Amino acid sequence: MSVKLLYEISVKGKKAYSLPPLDVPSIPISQLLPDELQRKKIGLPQVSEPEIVRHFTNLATQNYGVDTGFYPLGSCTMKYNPKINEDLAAMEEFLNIHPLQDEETVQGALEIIYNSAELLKEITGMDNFTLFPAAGAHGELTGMMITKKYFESIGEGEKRKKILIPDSAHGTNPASAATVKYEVCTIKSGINGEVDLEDLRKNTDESVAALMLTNPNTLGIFEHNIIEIAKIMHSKGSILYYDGANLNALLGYARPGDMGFDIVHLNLHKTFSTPHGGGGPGSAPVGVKEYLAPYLPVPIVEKKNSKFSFSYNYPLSIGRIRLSGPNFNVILKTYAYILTLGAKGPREVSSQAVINANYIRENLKDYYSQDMRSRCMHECVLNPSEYLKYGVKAKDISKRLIDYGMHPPTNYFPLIVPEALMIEPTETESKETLDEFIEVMIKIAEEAKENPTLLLEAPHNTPVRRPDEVKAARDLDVAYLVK
Amino acid sequence: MSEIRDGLNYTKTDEWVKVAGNIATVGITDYAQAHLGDIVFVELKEGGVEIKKGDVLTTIESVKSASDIYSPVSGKLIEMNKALEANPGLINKEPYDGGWIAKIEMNNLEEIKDLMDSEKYREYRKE
Amino acid sequence: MKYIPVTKEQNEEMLKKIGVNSGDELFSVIPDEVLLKENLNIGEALSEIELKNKFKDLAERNVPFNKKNFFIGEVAYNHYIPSIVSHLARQSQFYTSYTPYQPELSQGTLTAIYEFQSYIVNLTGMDVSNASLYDGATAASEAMLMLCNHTNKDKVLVSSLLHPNVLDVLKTYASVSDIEIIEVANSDGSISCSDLEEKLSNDIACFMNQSPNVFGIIEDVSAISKIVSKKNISLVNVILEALSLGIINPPGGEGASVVCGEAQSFGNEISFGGPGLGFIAAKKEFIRKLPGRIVGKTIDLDGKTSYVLTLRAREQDIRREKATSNICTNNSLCALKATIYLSTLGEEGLREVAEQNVQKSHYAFSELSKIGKINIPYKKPFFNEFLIELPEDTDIVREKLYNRGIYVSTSHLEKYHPTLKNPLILSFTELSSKEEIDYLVKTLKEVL
Repeated sequence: MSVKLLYEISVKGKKAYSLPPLDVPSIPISQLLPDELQRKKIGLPQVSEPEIVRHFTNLATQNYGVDTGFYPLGSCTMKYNPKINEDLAAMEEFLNIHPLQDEETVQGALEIIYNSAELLKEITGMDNFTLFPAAGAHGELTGMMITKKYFESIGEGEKRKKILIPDSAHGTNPASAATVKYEVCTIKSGINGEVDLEDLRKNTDESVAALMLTNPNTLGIFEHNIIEIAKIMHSKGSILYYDGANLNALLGYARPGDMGFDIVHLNLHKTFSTPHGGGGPGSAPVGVKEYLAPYLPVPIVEKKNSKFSFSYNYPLSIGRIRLSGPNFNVILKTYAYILTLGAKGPREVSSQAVINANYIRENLKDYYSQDMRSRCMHECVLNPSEYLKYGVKAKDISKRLIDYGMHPPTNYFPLIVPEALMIEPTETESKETLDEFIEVMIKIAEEAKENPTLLLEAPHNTPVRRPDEVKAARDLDVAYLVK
Repeated sequence: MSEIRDGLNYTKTDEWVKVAGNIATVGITDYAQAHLGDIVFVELKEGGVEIKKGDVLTTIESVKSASDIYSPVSGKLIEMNKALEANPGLINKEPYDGGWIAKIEMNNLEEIKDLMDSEKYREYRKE
Repeated sequence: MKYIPVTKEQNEEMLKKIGVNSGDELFSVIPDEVLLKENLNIGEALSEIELKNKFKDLAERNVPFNKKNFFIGEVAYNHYIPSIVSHLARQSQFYTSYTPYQPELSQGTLTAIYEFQSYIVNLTGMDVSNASLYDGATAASEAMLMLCNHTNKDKVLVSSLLHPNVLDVLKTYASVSDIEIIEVANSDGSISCSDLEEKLSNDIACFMNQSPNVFGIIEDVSAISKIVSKKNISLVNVILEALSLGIINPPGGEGASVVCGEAQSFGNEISFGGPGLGFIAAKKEFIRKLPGRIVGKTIDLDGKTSYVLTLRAREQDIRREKATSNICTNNSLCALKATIYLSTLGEEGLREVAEQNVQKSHYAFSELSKIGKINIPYKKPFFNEFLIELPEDTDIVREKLYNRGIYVSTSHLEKYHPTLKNPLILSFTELSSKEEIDYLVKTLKEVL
C-alpha cells in the first residue's frame, strides 16, 4: 500500500494549525516589510491534522526499527534504545534551554556534558574530550584537523603529508583525510584479515601524519599486533587514530588509550545506545592524549569550584566546529546509559555481544564460508560465494531474510570481501532470537540451492519490492515542485 | 566471458582506443562496463581542453560505484559522446560502438606503443 | 544487566556450543598488557528510580526559557511546536531505525525525507535539496567546500555580517583545506555593494551572504546577485532563521545558486543548541556535487511508487577519498520533525506565523525606539530580531534584566564589530506576548 505524499492529498482551505489572535496592534504588513521583499506563495500543502497523523502513522508502519525486530547490521551496533533515556531527554529543562543563555542558568546541562566527558575518559583511557562533533564522520574530521594543527605547530606541517588507512576501512576514513588535503595511502590486510605489519613498516616514515585504525577492525577481528603497531607509528613521530565504531566489542575489557591510540572518536549512537533516528542525529565525542589537548575544538566545558562553564581559552585550538551547542540531547541519553551500566556493566555488555556473535558464527559454519579463524569478536563476516553458482548473491540472501521478518545484515562491506554479509547481533538480543536467525539462515541456504528464484524475487511481502535504483539515478526526481 | 575486440588497443585500466590517423576514439571495455553495473551518469566535458596521458577524462557513475576514466593518450579533446547524456546505458549495451566516450586529437603517436593489443589485453584480463 | 535478555543458563548453553568455558576466553586475543584487570571506575549502576532522581536534580539547575520573558535568537529560535510533531516523531519505527539502505524496510523514512527535500526546495526556490546536514554552520562549510571543488578555486568572499559562529566554523574548515576567506565590509547594517564589487575577481569561488544577517536585517539579495553574476560567480545564501522563508522572497528566485543554513526553527526544540538541522539546496547544475544523502523517487518491481537513497556514488562509502564530502549521515529524525511541522502549518500557516513574528518584533522595535537612552543604529527591513546599543556595558544591563526575570543574549558582537557600542540583539517570535514585550520595555526604562 503506497502512501501518497501530503502534496497529493492537499486541498486548498484545509488547516491543521491554530494561532492565538495577534495581541500587539496590527500594522499592514507592507508598511513593515516592503512588498518587493515579500514572497507571493510558498509551496507547502494544505491538509488537516487527522490526515497528517494518518500519513505519518502509516509511514511509520512501513518502517522497521530495532523495536520491530532483529537488526544485525555489522559495524552499526543496533542495540536496544532505553526508553527511560528518551523520557529524561524530553524534560523541558533539557529541551528548552538556549546556548546563548547565561551560564548560571544552565549549570545542570553543563554538568551533564562535563560528567559525560569524565566518564568517557575512564572508559577509553584518554585524557581529554570534546563532545561537540555531530556524527562519526564529523568526529573523524575533527581528529584529522587536530592532527594537522598539531604537526603545523611543531613545525612538521610541511613534511607530514600522508594518512595511512587499511584497505578494510570504512569509506569515511579516507574521505575525512582527503577533506583536510592529506594524501591517502592504503595499507594491505594480511590473509588473517589484520593489518599487514610489513606493509605498514614499509610505508611508515616521517612523511606520515597518522594511521587510522578500527579495532576490532571492520571484519570483526581484533588487531592483536596493536602494541607493535603503536610502536611503529610512534617511532616515526606519527599519530595513531582510533575509529571507535566497534567499541562495543571492548567495553570494560580494553581501552584504546591503553593500546597506544592518540586520538579516538566514539559513536554514541552505536556503542552508547542512543537511537539512530533513521539516519541521525548521532554524536561523536573525540578524545585525545594530553599532548593534543591544546588543539581540541572550542569551547570546552570546564569545572572550577563546582561551577561549570564554556572555556574558549585554547589559543592553539582548531577552532569552532558547530553553530552553537554539541548534540546535547544525544549526550544526555549517553550519560543516562553509562550511569545505568555502572562499574560491572561494560564488561557484561561486550561479553554478551561477543558471545552472541560467536554463537551465530559457530552455528552457521557448515552453511556459509567464513574466514579461517576460530573466533570473531562482536561481529562476524559470512562469505556466501558458494551460492553464486545458483545465481544467488549476498544481496539476494539479504532480501530473502526480509521475508522472514528480519532486517538484513550489512552487505558488501568491507570491500575486501567480495560477497559479504557482516552480522553484529549486539548484546540486547535473546538466545531465542539468535536461534531463530540461525534457523532462518540455514533455511535460506537450502532455498538457495533448491529454489533460488525465491531469493532472487525476494522480498515478497513488503510494501515495495526491489525499487529500481538505476532508474532513480538516471531519471532524477528528488523533490515535488509546486508550480 | 567478456568481449575483447581485435584491432583496438587497450590500457591496464580497461579503456580501449581506436586509432584512425591521429584521432583516438576512447571508451571502456566490456569487462569494465560489466564490473561497473548499470551506468547512470557520465560527466561530459566540452571539447578544446588539452589532455595529458593519464589525466582523468571523466568519471562514470553507476548505482554502486564511480570510476575515473583515464586518458590513454595526450592531445586535444575534440568532443565527448553527447548521446551519453540522455542514454548513459549505451556504454553497457554497446561499449565498443555507440557507447564510445571521447575523441582526442593526438599530439604524440608514439604513445600507442605503450598500449596493449587485443591479445595482450586478453592475457591481462584472463579471469 | 537490564537490557541483556540472556540468562546465565542460556549463556552456558551458548558457550558450550562455541567451545569455550567462559565469555572471558573469547577475549584471549587481547594482549595481556592492555587487558583491564579491574572494573572501570564509573560508579555503581543506577536503577530507573535513582536515575530519574539524579536527572531531576540536574534539571533543577537549569532555567528553561518557556518560563517567559525570553528574547534570545541568533543561532536558535523559540517557536511553537505543534503537539502532533512529538507524537508522530516518537513512533519507534521512525526513531529506532537505521539509515534507509534497505528501501523495502524503510519507505517511512524515505518518503518523509522526500517530503522534507520537497519542502526545502519550494521554500528556497532551488531545484534540489539533500536530506539534511548537522547544523547551519557546518552546512555553510559544506557549501564552501562544494563551491571551491566545483570551480577549482581556493578563495571565497564572505559577508562580514555572517553570524560570528558561522564565520568561525568556516575559518576552521578553510584553514585545513587551503582556502582563503576574504570578508566583505558592511555599511549601515547590510553588505556594502561597492566593497563587494571591488573584491570580486576571477579567482573567487563564491560569495557567501547571510540573510537575514547577524543584525537581523534582510539583505538585498537581488542586488547582490546581480553584482556577483556579472563576474560569473555563485551566490551562496546562508539562513539561520529558516522561518523567515515563510514571508521573505526565496533566495532562489533572486539569483542565489546555493541556499543553506539552519532549519531548527521548523519543529525542533532548541535543546541547548544540539542536535541542529542543517540544510543545503542548490540549482540543478550542483546536484551531483551536493554533499550528504539524497532521496529519489522511482518505481519498484511491481511498478509501485517507491523511494530510495540515490546518487550514492558521490558518497564516502563508494568514492572514499574522492567523495564530495565525508558526510555519512543526515539528521534524519530532526528532518522528520521539520517535515511534520511544515505539513502542519502548511501554505497558510507558515505565512501567518511569519507575519506574527514580523508584527511582534516591529512592535518591540517601535516601543524601544521611544527610549531615549537606547540607540537603534539600523533602520533597514528586518524579520524578527534587531540590534540595539545600550548606554552601559551589555553584561551589566544583562545582569540587571536577569534579576528582573528577563533573559537576553550573552553574545559579545562588539568583538567582531568593534564600532558597535554595548550591542545587544533582541529576538521576538510568535511566542513573545505583548505583555512580555511591554515588561521588557518598562524594565529597560527603569534600569538604564
